[in-house]
Amino acid sequence: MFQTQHAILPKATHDEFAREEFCSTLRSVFTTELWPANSEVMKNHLAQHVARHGQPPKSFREAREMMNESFYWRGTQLVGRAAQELLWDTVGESIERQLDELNAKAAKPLKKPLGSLRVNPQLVIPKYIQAVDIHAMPGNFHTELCENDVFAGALYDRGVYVFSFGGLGPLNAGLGATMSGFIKSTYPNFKPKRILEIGCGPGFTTTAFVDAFPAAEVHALDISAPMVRYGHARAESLGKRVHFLQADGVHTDYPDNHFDLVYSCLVLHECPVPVIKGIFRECHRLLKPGGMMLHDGASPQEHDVGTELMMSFFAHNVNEPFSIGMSDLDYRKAYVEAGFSDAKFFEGACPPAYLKEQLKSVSYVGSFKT
Amino acid sequence: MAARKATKPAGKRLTPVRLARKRVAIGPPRPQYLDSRDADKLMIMMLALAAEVSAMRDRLDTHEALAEKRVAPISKRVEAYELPATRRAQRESRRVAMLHRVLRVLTEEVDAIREAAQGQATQV
Repeated sequence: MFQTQHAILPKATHDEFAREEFCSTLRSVFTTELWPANSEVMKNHLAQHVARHGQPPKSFREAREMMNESFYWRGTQLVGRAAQELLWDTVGESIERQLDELNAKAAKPLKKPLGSLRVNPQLVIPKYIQAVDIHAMPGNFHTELCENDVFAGALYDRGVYVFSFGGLGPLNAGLGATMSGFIKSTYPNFKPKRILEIGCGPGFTTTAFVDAFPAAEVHALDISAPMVRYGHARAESLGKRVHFLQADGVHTDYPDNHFDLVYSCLVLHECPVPVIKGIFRECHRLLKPGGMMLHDGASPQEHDVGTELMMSFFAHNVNEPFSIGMSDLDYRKAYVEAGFSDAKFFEGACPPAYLKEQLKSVSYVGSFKT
Repeated sequence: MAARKATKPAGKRLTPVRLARKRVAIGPPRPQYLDSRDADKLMIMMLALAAEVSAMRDRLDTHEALAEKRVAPISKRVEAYELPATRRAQRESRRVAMLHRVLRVLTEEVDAIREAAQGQATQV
């Protein structure tokens, strides 16, 4: 399966494509073989640890120290990190070569646009976004290389496809399709007329919601101008009507009680807890009474330290420092603090759209505004 | 030389008198350059190099695919080559096999655990 060649998707030369394919294979071997086998190594080291100390490691730190004795544990993390760095550098080189062309294509006014694009050059990029390049993606989501730049959007659209070895489908729609599918199957009578996605990136989750709710007016915002510029060009090229806005999800300029559904996909774990709580408050303000807020994530669960260690790859190796704080977040409590009624709180789960070997399920946490 | 040759019986081969070239320089021992963080960087560079090798192998495969169709593999045709899904899957299997070879030393621990488990299973 090849990624769908929409008008703004970068085109790779023969060798650029071949290098990207290597990155995909490396990511696939890492995800499906190398990393999961750490549980076998852990079992072995655990037995030795118990024999030596009379008990299993009590804390995350102790468990990590135990595993650090293993070259396999250290080495696989390094391979995972190397794959991550190589991936962005490989895809980035290909995009940089054709960036002028892509930027010009995205900036070209459309005769009859389906949706719209609002960019805010005055927007102050929050410090937490400037401080760390999430996913170890150089430049993070927000960096602009020139006027009308789409680099980060193109890098993320193509990069995620390579990263997930095509596992999200030819349009990277997997996450959005799974989440919208969850809404439709759990609440079949819920028919949102106006939808907002917070942290839409290049819009591959957003266009999945356009497909799931074709009658709805779909809006999407992101902190990054290159993301929404790219997202707009991509959506238009695919014939999907989306209204993109560059904004901080904590403070938007939409009116109160404006949306029937506000959601985010794989965004909250990239934000510090105070920002996450700010997003919940903004969602409450934006929703009409009866409107739904939905995010993916998980309420705190009791994990043994071994499981915690196996789940720690992203936080410790590829710049997801905030995911640690998020795993301790009590959604239910935070939703109530943001103004939602405790009685309306709901949770659900679906099989993961990708990384099936690493994730047991994708969990959703939502509420309705009363 | 001619005089020496003349003293040897005809048809008999000369004993090699040339010494093998030296491959280690006499002097102070080689300085130590790398620390463990450098080794991390080396692994990252090694995998980047593996990407180059893999890309070259794929390019060779494109050449072969064109040759099979009796098409001269000039740059333009290599660039324009449309990769069929079956051939792409073959390349993928080849890359996985290559990674297994390249990463053999890394997977030794897991391989040993599995071998031991298999041994136990056979004994039972």
